[in-house]
Amino acid sequence: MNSKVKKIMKDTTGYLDQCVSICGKIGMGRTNVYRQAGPMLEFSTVRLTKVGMIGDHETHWQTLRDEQLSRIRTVPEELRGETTDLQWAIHPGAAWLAARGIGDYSKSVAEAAEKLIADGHRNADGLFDDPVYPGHLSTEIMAMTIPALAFAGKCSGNGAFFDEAVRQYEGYAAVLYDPAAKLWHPGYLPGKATGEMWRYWDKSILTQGLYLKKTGVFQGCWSRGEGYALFALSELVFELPDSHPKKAELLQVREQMLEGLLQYQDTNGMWHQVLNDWGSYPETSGTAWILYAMGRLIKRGRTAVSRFLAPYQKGLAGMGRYLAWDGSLFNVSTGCICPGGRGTAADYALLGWRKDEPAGCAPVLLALQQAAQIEFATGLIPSYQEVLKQFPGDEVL
Amino acid sequence: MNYPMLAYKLWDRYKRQQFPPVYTTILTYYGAFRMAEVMDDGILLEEVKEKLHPFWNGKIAAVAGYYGKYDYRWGGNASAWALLHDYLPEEAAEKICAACDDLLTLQPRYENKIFCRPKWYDPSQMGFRWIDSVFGVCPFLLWTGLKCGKANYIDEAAAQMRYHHELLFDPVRKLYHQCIDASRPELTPGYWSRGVGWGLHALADLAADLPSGHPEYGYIRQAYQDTIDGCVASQDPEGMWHQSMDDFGTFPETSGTGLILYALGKGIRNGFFTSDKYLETFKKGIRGLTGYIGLDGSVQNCCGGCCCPGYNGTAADYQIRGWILNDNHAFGPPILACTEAIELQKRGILP
Repeated sequence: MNSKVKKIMKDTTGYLDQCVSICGKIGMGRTNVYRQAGPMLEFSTVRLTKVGMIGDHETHWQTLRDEQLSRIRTVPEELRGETTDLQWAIHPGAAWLAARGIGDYSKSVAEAAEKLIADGHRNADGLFDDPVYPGHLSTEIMAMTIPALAFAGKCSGNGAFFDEAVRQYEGYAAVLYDPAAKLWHPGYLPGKATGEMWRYWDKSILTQGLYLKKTGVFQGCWSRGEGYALFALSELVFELPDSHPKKAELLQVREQMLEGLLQYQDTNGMWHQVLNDWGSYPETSGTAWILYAMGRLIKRGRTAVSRFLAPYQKGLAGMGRYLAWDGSLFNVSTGCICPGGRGTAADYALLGWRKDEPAGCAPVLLALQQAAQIEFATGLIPSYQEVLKQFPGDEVL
Repeated sequence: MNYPMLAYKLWDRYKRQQFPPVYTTILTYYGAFRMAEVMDDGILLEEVKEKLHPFWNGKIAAVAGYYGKYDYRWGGNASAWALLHDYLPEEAAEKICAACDDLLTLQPRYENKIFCRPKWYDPSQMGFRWIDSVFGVCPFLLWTGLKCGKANYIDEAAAQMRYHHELLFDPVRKLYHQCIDASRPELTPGYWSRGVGWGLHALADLAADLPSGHPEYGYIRQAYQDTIDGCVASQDPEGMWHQSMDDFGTFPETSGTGLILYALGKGIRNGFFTSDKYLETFKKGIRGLTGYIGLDGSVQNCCGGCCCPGYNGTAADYQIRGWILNDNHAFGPPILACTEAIELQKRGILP
């Protein structure tokens, strides 16, 4: 490679550059990606602006933040429902802003957290569940409640919010975490459906006919489902005060979870749609959630992180195959609740992916901004281009 | 957009794939040569020359592809282009000319004119003709003929282009059908984008390098203009061309898009397409194409090997044929598209 070419290659696409491309792509979309992706995308984007402002002082970060603050302020009421209802009891973007002292959200976030604890729909064991189909547990509900409670605890100093978040995490883990496989199952159903519980996204003939055939835990280990659980735990352990009696234990749990996932990472760095079945396709959103959680652990550096550094960079490089230069996303699983009515590994494997699936935006943005933070703050990883060069991947599994 | 970086990423990913020698090897090596030229990258030039050496030197026993024997195994277009630009030694000219002579005399023809192969529905008869051929033979004969002063090669290149255009071009849609007399005694109804791209690859090179005094020059220029106009009309709002170009229900396809952009960019660069609409089509297309190329140089949405698929190459047949991540056809076309983008950037035409 001659010197001119070396110079061109130094003009790199870094982690934040790719985030900007993704945001640009979202903005160009003909459909309302924010509406489809929900508050998680707003959370990831507003968090991105904070990371971006640390990295550089370009005005586009402030512009993006202003846009997100405005969006979060005007978020539709139905996205702040009184129960979980697979709608958001607390907007995670607002709660995160409150926890970081940005904007003026603390009061409303604390009120929403109190309301969630008082009125949130729960199963017999006190776990937040699905009001449309009582007893339905999902790692997605964990992601919708636990981090927000932790952020609310942080901004208000109210220990009850932390305690509830920990209680929810432990309760969910008892039902959905498989300690032998070291994997999460994405959901649990207490019985057959009555036929009245399908939602707008479940209206396909396939899902209507088969939905909820099975009682119990969905057997397939869906990568995005794993990601939701990891997200919940990552935010919880980050926000919990060091003095909290569960902090040390949960930190250890997170480390064990992430260590358990290493065996399921393929040689190209990806995790698959069904984590323990490489016959299913490499899946981008689950991979990104895992990388985000791993990045959180690496950045804090509380324990020896060296064993995670190579898999982490391999994962970032592997994910790069499915991130296009214009911000397009490939291999993101379409949304689902218990595909095929049984949620087996085969059911999840048959659930296809689509280009630019909105559910992929938030985890990818989070994973990349976390990588940028590690690059800036610790120097433990190099630029994205360097990572791609060091971990080029194999071609055939 | 950093098109040089994109092109180098594609080339690097291609090499990692370690494909066996096939006609797409020739396509990609030609793309890499063009990259080396536009980037003034002597190291890349030497790398490609070294890779090509066993081809023109007769050390590659077989290259997959219908024109493998008299064309691809000698390096095809890549060797001919390198020869024309004095990147190959004198001894290469002899061997490549011998291959061209064999191609002209031994390759089966239909009614002594157009190259062909046995009909699928009646293998005892010759007559299956398809647009892919012009990519294989026209630039190879043209560039070798220009270098070696062989008018018969140049004439044959132009003649084969005319034969295929007359037979497979739809003057209404201004696009190519892929085949005739394959599964059925009729044209394949779909308008396969890579097939159109093969046709345009040959047209772009002929229009650029055929001497303007050649009797077929006017015909070639008009065919080129017509086909590009057909492409402009069938580009989707995101800038892509689809697997069957008349049917946006088929998937956006990257190899066809890349080849069309190569031909369009080359025509803009050479002053053939001066209206703004062509440049806008190119800009939109190259932007769209980058949406299918991964940060590691991987290429999505590339149709796998494809010749009259299914019932008879209908739009549905092409759709069902599907696409493959990092297929061997995936790399040459976007590399070539990038080289034209770089050329246009150098001229200040493209931002």
